[in-house]
Amino acid sequence: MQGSEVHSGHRARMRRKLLSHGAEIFDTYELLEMLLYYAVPARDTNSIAKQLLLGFGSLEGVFSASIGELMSIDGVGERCAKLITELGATYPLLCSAREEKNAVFDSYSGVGDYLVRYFDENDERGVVMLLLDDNMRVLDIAAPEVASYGSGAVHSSFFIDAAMRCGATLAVVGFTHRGNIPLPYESELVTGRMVRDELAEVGVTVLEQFAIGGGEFSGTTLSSRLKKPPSNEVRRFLSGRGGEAL
Amino acid sequence: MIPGITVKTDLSVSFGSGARDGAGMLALLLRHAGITDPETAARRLIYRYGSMLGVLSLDRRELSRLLGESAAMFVVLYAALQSRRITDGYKLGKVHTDEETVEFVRASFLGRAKETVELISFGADGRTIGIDRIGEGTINSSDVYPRRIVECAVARGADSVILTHNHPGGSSHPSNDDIVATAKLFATCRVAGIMLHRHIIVAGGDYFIMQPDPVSGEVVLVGRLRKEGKNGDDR
Repeated sequence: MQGSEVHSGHRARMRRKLLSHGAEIFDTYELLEMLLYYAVPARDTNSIAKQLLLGFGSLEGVFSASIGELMSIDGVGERCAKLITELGATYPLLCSAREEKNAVFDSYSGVGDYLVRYFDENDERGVVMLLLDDNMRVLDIAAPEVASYGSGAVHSSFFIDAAMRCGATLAVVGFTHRGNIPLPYESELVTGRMVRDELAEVGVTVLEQFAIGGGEFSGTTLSSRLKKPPSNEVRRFLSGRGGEAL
Repeated sequence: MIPGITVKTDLSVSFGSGARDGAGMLALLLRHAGITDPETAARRLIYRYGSMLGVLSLDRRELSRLLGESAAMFVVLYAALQSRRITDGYKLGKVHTDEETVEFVRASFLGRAKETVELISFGADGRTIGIDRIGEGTINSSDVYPRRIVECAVARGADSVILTHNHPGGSSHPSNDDIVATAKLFATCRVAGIMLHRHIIVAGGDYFIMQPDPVSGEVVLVGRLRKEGKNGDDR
């Protein structure tokens, strides 16, 4: 059997094993060996993977090495070294990535906490609307470019457009009082009633409007004039609050 | 090909800053994986699954269906290797800081499509003496977990333990059921002479710490570790 056929047969078996059983059954050098398939054609990458781990002490050492350092290992060409360094450089970004969309909420305080973190990481934003489906999954995040919720610059049409595009049926609003206590101003309550009523016209229930400030959150729970009685999910969400309506 | 998905023209309306970075990262992966138009494929995947971490957490079969076997394998390998670069450094027999333990826990669940429960055991001197998988499935739906947790801790000779589990595709914030389960597990462990020190929930790149009060057993919602000097815990 030709050498390249041996390698391709081995690689196909490893691929099947990985896709059938997952990565947990493999040692680290085997995972690295398989990654090198994508940059080293028709050659035994098992020994290269072992040399890399031996030479740099650990997988972290391999991913932290420079292109020149990696190419000092026999069998590691420029393409292979670039693959390793580019993948290695993504880890800090991966650590900071959050599940902004697709998060599913099952507690009132979970939503408030989410919004606190959102405004921490998006400090250019003053207002945001989380657009949810009936299962409290975030479908989209609509963030108009307005300075504050009570400024009169908020238009429901922006939120309605975003809600219709993603098919949301529920929504939660968050607005920030940067560094200040999270209690809403009267102008924000007025805006809130307008937004809630206008979204209700298109079948989107605004569950709550949170004021965020000083690392804390506070819900406003405006009096409801919804056309339909709340669903079980809405009722459960509202009942988890514990505070008084303003 | 990603059937049934159309790319929105104004991504800035829908995506937070995290997803914009995620699309770029995912495009980089898909380019190395041999996908022909990695930027478009990445945007479609991010749009459908919400984030880079959402894509990494997909079931392997689903990834194969969407990307083909070769590209799916690359994504699986990427997630596994990023996890291992951290978890390989978390050694048994060593005393680890709170930050190291949290990083280890976050990395452990990277790319996991299923909800799993794990236990880290510590000796009386604070050294890590065991890392065990307790089971799969939601922690508050099984009566088996309390016994398994105590069995594992006793087998390790643990003085204290940290419980961890993930919420794939969900929020790291604990539900009421998570809080109740934590209080019950604390009580069960205490009967066996073991301290349940913390319960850490991981979702995507985020995590949340619950910490039972060692005296009353009341579950305190700590959230994230604060910066050095501000966290009251000195585990």
